[in-house]
Amino acid sequence: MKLMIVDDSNIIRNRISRIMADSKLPPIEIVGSVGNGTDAFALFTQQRPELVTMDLTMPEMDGVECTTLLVEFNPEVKILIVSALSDKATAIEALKNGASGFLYKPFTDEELVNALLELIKE
Amino acid sequence: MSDLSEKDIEIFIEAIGGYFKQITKEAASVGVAYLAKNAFPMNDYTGMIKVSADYEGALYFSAPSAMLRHLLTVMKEPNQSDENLLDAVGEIANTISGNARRYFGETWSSPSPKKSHTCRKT
Repeated sequence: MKLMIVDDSNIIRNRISRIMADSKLPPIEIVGSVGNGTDAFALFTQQRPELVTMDLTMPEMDGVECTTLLVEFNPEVKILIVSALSDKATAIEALKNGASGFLYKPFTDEELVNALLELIKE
Repeated sequence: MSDLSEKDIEIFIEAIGGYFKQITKEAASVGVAYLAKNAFPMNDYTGMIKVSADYEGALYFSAPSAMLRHLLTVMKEPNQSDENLLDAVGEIANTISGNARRYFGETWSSPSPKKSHTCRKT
């Protein structure tokens, strides 16, 4: 299974990569990590990942807009929003635009693994 | 337009405490909390987010280098470059501000943070 990581924070992208490497999830190949929605769409169309972790607040193209584009391109993709924006309205908007799950920052290693596991099981 | 109340400030104290507890498993102790109107206590690295809702102002997260290096070590981030320390203060400011939306609602606006490194004489 292929995973793409989208977050404008370098340390968060690295952290998600490390958690995946240390986890006992089914084999997941990280096909790339990018810092904005524009780069994410370009990488997505090249690599066709089945799983995406997506930040919301990013420069150039935000996570909601990017989620909409990715789902239009591949409606089967599972997108986990990983964001500090913790109001209900934001989560609802993301889910309406095609996201499959929502994980609030700050998150623990276990919370990220469990959230991705839920998406894989679906 | 009004000042934040004592109860409002509690939201940020909880957010910062929650951040460190979640990431490092150690609770962050908060000293005296107050609303800074003129001079801001600046540490080595500072993340700043302009916020607006019923209020207008800025949220600063400022930390000494040693604290940020410890945080990155706990996150198993080997690269403790200036760029990653700046990334850390920006991400923390962003997380605290994002978490505040749960309390202040979706009108709480917080764009991407600005980050700065304070050079000090030693």
